[in-house]
Amino acid sequence: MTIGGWITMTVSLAFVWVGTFWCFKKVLSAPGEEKAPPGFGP
Amino acid sequence: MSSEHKEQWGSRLGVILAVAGSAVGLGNFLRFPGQAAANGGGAFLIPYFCALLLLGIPIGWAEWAMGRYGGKKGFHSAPAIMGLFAKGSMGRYLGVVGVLIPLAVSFYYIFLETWTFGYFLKYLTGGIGVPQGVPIAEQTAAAASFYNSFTGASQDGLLFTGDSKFTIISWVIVFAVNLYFVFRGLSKGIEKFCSYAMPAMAVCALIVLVRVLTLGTPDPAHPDQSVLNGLGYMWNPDYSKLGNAQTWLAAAGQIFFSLSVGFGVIINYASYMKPKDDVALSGLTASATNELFEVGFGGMITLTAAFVFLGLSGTTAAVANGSFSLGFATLPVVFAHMGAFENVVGALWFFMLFLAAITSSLSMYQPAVALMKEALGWSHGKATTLIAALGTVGAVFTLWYTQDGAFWHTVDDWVGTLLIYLMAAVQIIYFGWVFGIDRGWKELHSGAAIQVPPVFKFVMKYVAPAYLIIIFVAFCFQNLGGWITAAWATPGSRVGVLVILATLMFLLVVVKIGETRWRAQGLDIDDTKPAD
Repeated sequence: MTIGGWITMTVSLAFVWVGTFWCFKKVLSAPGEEKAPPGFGP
Repeated sequence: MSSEHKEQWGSRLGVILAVAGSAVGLGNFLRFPGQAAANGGGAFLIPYFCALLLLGIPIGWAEWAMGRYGGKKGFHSAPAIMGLFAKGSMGRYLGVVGVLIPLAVSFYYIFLETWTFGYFLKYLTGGIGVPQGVPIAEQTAAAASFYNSFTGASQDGLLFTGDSKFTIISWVIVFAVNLYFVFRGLSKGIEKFCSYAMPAMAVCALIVLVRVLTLGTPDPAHPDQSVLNGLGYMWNPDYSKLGNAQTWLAAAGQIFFSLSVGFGVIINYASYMKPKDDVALSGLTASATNELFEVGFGGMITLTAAFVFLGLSGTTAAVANGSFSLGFATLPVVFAHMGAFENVVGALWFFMLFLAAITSSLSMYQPAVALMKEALGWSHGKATTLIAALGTVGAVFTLWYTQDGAFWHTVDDWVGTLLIYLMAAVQIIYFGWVFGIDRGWKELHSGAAIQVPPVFKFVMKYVAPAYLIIIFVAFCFQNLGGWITAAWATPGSRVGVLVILATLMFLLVVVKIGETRWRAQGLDIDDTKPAD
């Protein structure tokens, strides 16, 4: 494995892992979803 | 609309996992590493991430926003939603492609899914018969023999007339599982299954990854065949490849097919969201999840494992033989070198591929079911029964015409590849140019949990359509001539063409009936009034 290989692998893995964690963190911390008012639905 | 009750996703996370499950498939683990290794290794990731940012994510955002907008108007099928964005019948008939793609692909995809399930069962019960402690050539021959026998690749009709009915039995089980979850509906079926299957797939991938990364240098006689050199095979960059247009085409194609944009599923799935649900962050998260499985797992596992046991020449030959040969004929040879862990790792690997495949195949019926429900006014059960019947007919052709995979290769080329480019191009052009990028941008940000950087407005209007048209033209230039010749070359390929045309005609008739029905009901099918 060359230095170039280490760099591209590390940068790519960091990009996808950090990106995915950031997205899921935002999703899970976003305000609650709208709920149907009482009396609606089955 | 006419469905008996309004279907909706149960949670934001549920729809994200369902879309990500649809996108993560066999290509993430088998196609991506081969493409990267053949096109510059680590250097391939530069055009790959460019395509992700300029093509995959923007078109995905457009598709999410279009789907949710259609849902606000009460529509869930691609033809009806495309009719809104095109403001007329042309969009509805072009939108048929968004139903044809997932339906026709499901005809053969469940067969490929059957391979993963059948291999998984075999590894659970002792493996596929690759002997240990013999030369690699003998192991390769044994793995190839099982592969050819299981897939019926040597002769049409072999799966029905041959001695073993294992493939057919596996297919019946896989098809039944798919139908069970589709019948259960969106939230109780697809969403619930994906909410368990996606984390399970990640756990399987992590275990296999750890096992591969701890292989070290298993054969002292070949000190060059180490994990580090295996990673180097995949990741060492060859920047000279960046000057080759083929590298950029391959990267764009990989992103495109991997993210499932233009497939007809995202537009359908997003239509079941609530009017103020976020689509910007949801679309980004589904794409990110797909990339994690593709780059983070696919890029680390497949070729590294092959290199450690097969060396440079063996791995290069495996990559040259294509994705399926790599996954189903080469990796069993690799597992045979893992000693006591052979069957455990083999079972985990194929179970992981099975989860990747089934979370994709589950999404393929829903667009057609939605069309039947809203165009014909049918119940969920009746619509699903019809689509299941069509799926059975398509599958029978797939299971009979197995010689060299001619039937399913034909459907994959013309529908699962070419029409996806067409659908994505039509979608992004309607979104940016007919619906209008300002209106589209506002729609994307309605209820959004993130602010998309304004530069993407320019990307969605100009860069993505231009990028897509360039790669589409280049792709046609490279492949169309050969495909036209191959399409009529064998009985399997000819039947493939006829099945595509028959399915297309059927769907066009359904849309025509639906259009007449929607007009009679006074629905705003040409989007003359803004949605709420």
